[in-house]
Formats: sequence, C-alpha cells, structure tokens
Amino acid sequence: MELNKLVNILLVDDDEDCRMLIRDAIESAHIKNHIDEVADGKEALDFLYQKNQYANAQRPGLIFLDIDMPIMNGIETLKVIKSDPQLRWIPVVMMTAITDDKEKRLAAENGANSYTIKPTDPMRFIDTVLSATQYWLGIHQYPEEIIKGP
Amino acid sequence: MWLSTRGKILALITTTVITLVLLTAFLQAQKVSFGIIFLIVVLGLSLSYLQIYKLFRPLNQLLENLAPLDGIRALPYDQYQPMSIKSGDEFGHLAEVFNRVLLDMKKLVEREKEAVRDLLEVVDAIVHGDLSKRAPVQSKDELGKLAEAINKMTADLQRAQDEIKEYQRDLEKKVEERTRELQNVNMRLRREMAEKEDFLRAVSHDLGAPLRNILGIANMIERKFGNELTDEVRDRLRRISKNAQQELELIAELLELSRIKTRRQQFEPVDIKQLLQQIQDNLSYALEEHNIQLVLQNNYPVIIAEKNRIKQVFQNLIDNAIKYIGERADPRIEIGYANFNGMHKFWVKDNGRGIRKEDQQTIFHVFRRVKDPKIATIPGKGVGLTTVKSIIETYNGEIWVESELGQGSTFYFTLDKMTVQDAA
Repeated sequence: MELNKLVNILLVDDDEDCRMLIRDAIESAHIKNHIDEVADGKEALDFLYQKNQYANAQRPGLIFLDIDMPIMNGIETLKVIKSDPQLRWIPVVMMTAITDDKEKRLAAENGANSYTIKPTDPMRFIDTVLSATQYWLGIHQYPEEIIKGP
Repeated sequence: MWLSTRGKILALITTTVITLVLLTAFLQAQKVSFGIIFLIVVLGLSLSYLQIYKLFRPLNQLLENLAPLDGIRALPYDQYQPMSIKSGDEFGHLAEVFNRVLLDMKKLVEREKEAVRDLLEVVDAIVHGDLSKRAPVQSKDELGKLAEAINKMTADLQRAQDEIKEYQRDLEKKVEERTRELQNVNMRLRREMAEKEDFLRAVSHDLGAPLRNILGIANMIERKFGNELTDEVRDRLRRISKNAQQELELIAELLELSRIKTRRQQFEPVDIKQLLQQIQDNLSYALEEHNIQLVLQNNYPVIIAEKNRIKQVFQNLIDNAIKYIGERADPRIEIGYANFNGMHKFWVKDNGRGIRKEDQQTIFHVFRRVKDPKIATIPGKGVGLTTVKSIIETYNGEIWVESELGQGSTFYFTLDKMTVQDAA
C-alpha cells in the first residue's frame, strides 16, 4: 500500500511503554512516517499550537489519543481539537482500556474519527492501530492545507 | 237526645196549638176553672223545661266540643277549641279547667316538638360531618337526657376525630421524615456506587495497563526479533505472555463479578433452550475433545432476565463440569429443569470425579478451589462459581451442590419467578 509520506503521526499517551509499543508496531509494519510523542492533552495542544518547547512542531495528519490521562484527558483534548477550524480536519483515533458505552458516546459526540479499545489481547490492539494507520495514511484523502500546514 | 232547633220550634208550635185548642174547648164548655188550672200546668211545665235546658246546654256544648261527630271518637289535640262558657257555676268552672288543660297540653306538645327539632338538627349536622353543633338541654325529662347524651356523643366523636387528625398529621410528618431519610440514604448509596464504579474502573485500568504492556512487549520482541531468538528465549517469552494474559482475564472477571449486583443489564425474553443450544455450539470443540455427551431436555422455560448473565451461569457451570469431569468411559453432562415452589429449578449434572464434602461449601467462595493435587493442573482462577452464585442471588435464587466422590456432581440452582417473569 502506498502511504501518504507527508503525513506525520502524533501519539498522545501518558504511558511511555504503550507509546513505545505503538511506535514499534508502526515501525515493524515498515511504515516510515514521522512519529511525535507527547504525554498528556495539554502537551498535545501545545504541540498542535506550536507553543513552548514545541515552537517548531510540524502539524500531524493523524492523532492517536489516549482517553485516561492526567492533567488533561483525551475527551477534553478532543473537544478543543474538533472545535478549532484549523485542526478539526485531523483524524483522531481515540484509545481506551475501558469498554464503556458512555465514554464511547462521548467520544463520538465530540467528533472522534475512530474509537479503539486496548483489549486484553494487546496484539489485537496493535493490529487495530496498524489498520487505523493504514486506512488514514493510505486510503483517506486529505485536504491540501492539512498537509502543507500553516 | 236533645232536639234540634227545628224540633224545638215544632214542639213549641205543637204545644201552643194543643194548649190553645184545649183552652178554647175549656172556654166553650164554660169550664173556666179547668182552663185556668190547665194554663198554670202548661206554664209550669214550660218553666221546668227552660230550667232543664239551661242545665244541659253547657253539658251539651262540652260534649260537642270533645266529640262532635258521634260522641265516641277523640279528636287530634290541636283541633280542640277552647270553650266559651261564661257561667259562674260548676259548668263554667269545668269549661275553664278544660280550657287551661288544653292550653297546657298544646304548649307542652309544641315545646317537645321544638326540642325534637333541635335534636334532629344536631343529629343531621353530625350525619353531615359537622360536630360543632350542640343540642340545647331545656328540661330534665327524657328529651333533655337524650339531648345530653347526643351532646356527649358528639363531643366524644369530636375528640376522637381530633385525635385521628393529630395522629394523621404525626404520621404524615413521620412519613415525610422517613422519605427524606430514605432519599438521603439512597443518594449516599448512589454516590457510593458511583465511587465504587470509579474505583473499579481505575483499578482495572491501572492493574491492566502494565500487564497489557508486558504482553505487548513480549509479543513485540517475538515479532521484531523473532529470527534472532533461540527457542529457549522464545519459550520464556511465551510463558511471560501466558501469565500476563491469565492475570488480565482474572482482572476482567473480577471487575465483572463486582458489577453483577450494582449494574443490572437489560431484561429481555430468554429462551433457555435456545441459550443452551448456543452454549453447546460454542463448546462443541471441548465436548468432542473429551467425548462428552451433553444431554438437553425439552421442557425449558422462556424467562425475562438479563440474557448475558443467565448465559454466564450455564456457561460457567458447564465449563466446570467439562474441566473437572476427569477420565471415564462415558462422560455425560445433563441439564435439567423443573418447576419448583414458585421457582425455576435448574441443575447441571455430571458423572465425573465428584467433590469432597468438605469442599462443597468453599467452592462458591472467591479464589477458593478444591485442594487436590490431581486437579491442581486444571486451569482455573476460582472466580467462576462465585460469579454464578452472585448472579443467582440477584434473582433471589440459591445454588447448592450434591456430590459424591467418584459418582459425579449435581449443581442445583433456583431463580425466583417473581424476579424472572415468565414470558407470555
């Protein structure tokens, strides 16, 4: 599959090991897109708005967003992203360990593009993440301005 | 008895005519002395008559007044008229007494009538719920006593009513208080349940996350460095994965166990026969592997319940039966049903190794497994039967086991028909 090489990926998860696993999985599938990592929602917004240490950050074309995070959780972060006309085009894949209908609905209502559950079998989760990556980077057509950035 | 006016006139004319004829006859016969004597006799008789008449007239009037028609029947008291006899003799006196008695009687009757009217008014008010009126007590006779009795009764009623009202107010206040207390307890319980739910969520997340990472990393090592690993390292990695996987499943089961009583699921018609056939399909591999015959009946009911939970009850019991059936020639698991004292009674019967008496109670406790080296190798976490018991208890049911070593075990459980309505 020919992937859109211009698209960067942003991983938002407070669990460093989990980030490493996702990165490993993406790399092991020979996906060469650039991956940035941040540990919570506030950092993610700093990254997206190029604030503080992220002044030179490149706008991502795909976000993996964990829900249970300290400082600012995934749902709050999602709300900000999806209410900003500059950012709302970026596909956001929510990640959670909890199968909770309320949370699923909340994510959907706030414009999540996908909702994945970290199941008891982590390899299934890794495969899900890979499928999501391949879909958004390989099949989805981005508007030009997302790729070019501000 | 006494002549009428017409009779009197007729008598007077007849007497006068006879007197005149006789007088004329006496004069013609020149018997003047006879005539004079005769005239004197007639005059004397007339005077006597007048005297007698004067005597009987008031008597006559009295009688006419008392019994004017036939002299026998008495009149209603209010139709008697006072007599107007003005003579000063005994008759006048008699009439006066009569008049006074008549007046007194009329007055008495009027007064009694008025007293009865007053009483009736009070009674009527009581009948219509007004207890504020009191009857005037005007005399000491029976009517007066009746009025007093009615007044006392009314006062008693009023007091009783006031007490009831007071009691009602008290009761309402108490109900209000209890309701408020219950609402508070309810709110506290809800809050505690929500807190517990949050706690469980957090525990499940925080316990599960590192395990998921361990599993993920072990798998990723295999995936990423597979070619460089020795068989020994690969074997150790798989052991890491297996242990972590078991722990994750245990956490999931414990989480589910803790939610059975706090988070009820949707109630829907559950066709037990269909449910058992589904379980049979799911377990077909395990059943065939151990050559086990699963025997179903034809009389299972359709109940209204939480489908997944009821399924879990059967699934866990059948799973256990398969796991612990042991080696024997004709392994067999039978699912029975009977209607039992307003309860649905089911049983899962196997002809396996059986359970020792001392273990028959503890197996329903969480993390308690039978301590037997022969079955120590059988995978299990000691949560399955606790989950089953917990679910059954939410349906006001019971679970128990009858078993004999070497003969097999039968797990019985009941579901209250009031909590699982029969589907129409």
